[in-house]
Amino acid sequence: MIRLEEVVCRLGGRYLFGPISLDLPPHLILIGPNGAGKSTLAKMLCGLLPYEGRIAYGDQNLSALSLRERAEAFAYVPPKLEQFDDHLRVREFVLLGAFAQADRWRGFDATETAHADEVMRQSQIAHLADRPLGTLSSGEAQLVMTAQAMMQRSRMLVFDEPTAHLDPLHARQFVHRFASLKAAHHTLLITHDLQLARALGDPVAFLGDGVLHYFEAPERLFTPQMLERLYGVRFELTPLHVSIRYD
Amino acid sequence: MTKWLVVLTLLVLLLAPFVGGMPLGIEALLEPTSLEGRIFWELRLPRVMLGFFGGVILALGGLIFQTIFRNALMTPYTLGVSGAATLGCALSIALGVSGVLMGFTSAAFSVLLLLLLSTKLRSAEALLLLGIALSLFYGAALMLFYHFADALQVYSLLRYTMGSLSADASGGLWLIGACAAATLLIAYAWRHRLALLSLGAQSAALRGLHVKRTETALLLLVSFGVAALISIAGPIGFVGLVAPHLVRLLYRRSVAHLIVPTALVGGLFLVAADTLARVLSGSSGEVSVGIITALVGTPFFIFLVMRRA
Repeated sequence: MIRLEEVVCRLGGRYLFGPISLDLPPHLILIGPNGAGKSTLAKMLCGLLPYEGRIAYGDQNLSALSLRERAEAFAYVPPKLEQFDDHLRVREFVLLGAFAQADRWRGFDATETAHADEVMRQSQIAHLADRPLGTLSSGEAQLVMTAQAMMQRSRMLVFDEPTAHLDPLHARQFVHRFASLKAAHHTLLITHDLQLARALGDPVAFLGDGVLHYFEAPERLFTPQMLERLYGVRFELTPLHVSIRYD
Repeated sequence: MTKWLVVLTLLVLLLAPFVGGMPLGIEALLEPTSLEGRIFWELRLPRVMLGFFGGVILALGGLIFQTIFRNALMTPYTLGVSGAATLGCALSIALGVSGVLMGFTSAAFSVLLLLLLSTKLRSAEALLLLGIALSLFYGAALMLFYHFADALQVYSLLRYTMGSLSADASGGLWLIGACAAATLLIAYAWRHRLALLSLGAQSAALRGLHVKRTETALLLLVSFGVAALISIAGPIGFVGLVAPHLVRLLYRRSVAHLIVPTALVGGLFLVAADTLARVLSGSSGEVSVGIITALVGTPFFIFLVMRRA
């Protein structure tokens, strides 16, 4: 259980959002306009950014967790793969996800390597194992980053705009993978794609103007009136002429 | 490929002591008390080993700097750390204190300054420019030192700043050997940390790595090795740039796989350059090895910049 208690975020002295109080459900979708602080909130949870207030992780204070404990609690999947080493192979990249569990000096043992192969097989990327990261397409990179997050064995997977760079086929592939991951992990998914948010059917939180609006029943959010109130633009809920079927 | 590199290294280490202004025969190896034997065992072999260990330190220093700062042009030399160590060592000559201590203090100060400023800078290019500015600053401070030194001091400092392995290496060989071994062992043991750092500080922290602690430890380790080498041989540039990139071009693997080959190529490069310096010796003495590495390294540097562009 993750509980935000009067959490306020200021970056470089600039107020961004808060105070926010919320008991996070096991699966949550976070939406909101650009610059509202969605990714910042996710990075705060993962321990990358400071905050005011308190975030409880079970019966512990999140700020009291060590870096390794945080890595075991949260795995963050960024919108895009940022690699500085073009020659790093997919297998090595996936394996690095298990760094928090690896021996400090000896590194990864045979069990971890076998586990990485198993995760790649489950993620249907076994054929990419020896490919350098620099040669992957956006869709392949998304699958590889998700596999690395699985390797981290974290309780919660945080996806930051996972379908932003994907074509419809890969977006659908991601949604299927996401659905299977929900059985074993808690999830937080950040997206601008309202169609995706609606299709997933999980509780939704809207972050905008520093305030978090929580919708345990997502159908309360997906009305033209509510969306217009939150985003400040007019909406029309009609079936699109062309829309992705995620089923 | 690494096996062949090991064979080549052993071959070069074995043959290099025979080559120089005075070529030596096989009898030098077998008769240690003869003049040729003494040259082989007491001068050439320690010098070749100093060159090899020095090359290991400089090459791994380059690889570690490039990984931490995630830029192909970062080395202790281009970021001004070598310049700081040179200034410290030059000051130690005037003050009569330990060159290693002064060199390391200056290099460590420069590294910590870079680490502090790197968190404020938005790009690696800005950090590189900062390193160049620091190098110029340390160079100017050294010039000021020349200005107040007497003619003899200026001459010896000038020779020193050209970088040479011709100094009596016997005293410092163990120190440089220990630094090279420590740098290689720690870099290899921490190869997965280096691979994580190559993904970016944020990505590494998310996987549970203490980024600042790891970076600081590695940079100080490199700084100590570089400062120790500079206190004995003066500044030798471009090894940290040439060796890691040559290995990257040959191996096309991640940093975790490049540590041992980079150490070997760095060692080989400096031994080969120093052997050439010995062969090119003339009436005005030996050509400094720093001149050879710069003559080879500068075109390579231009090639790298053009390739990136």
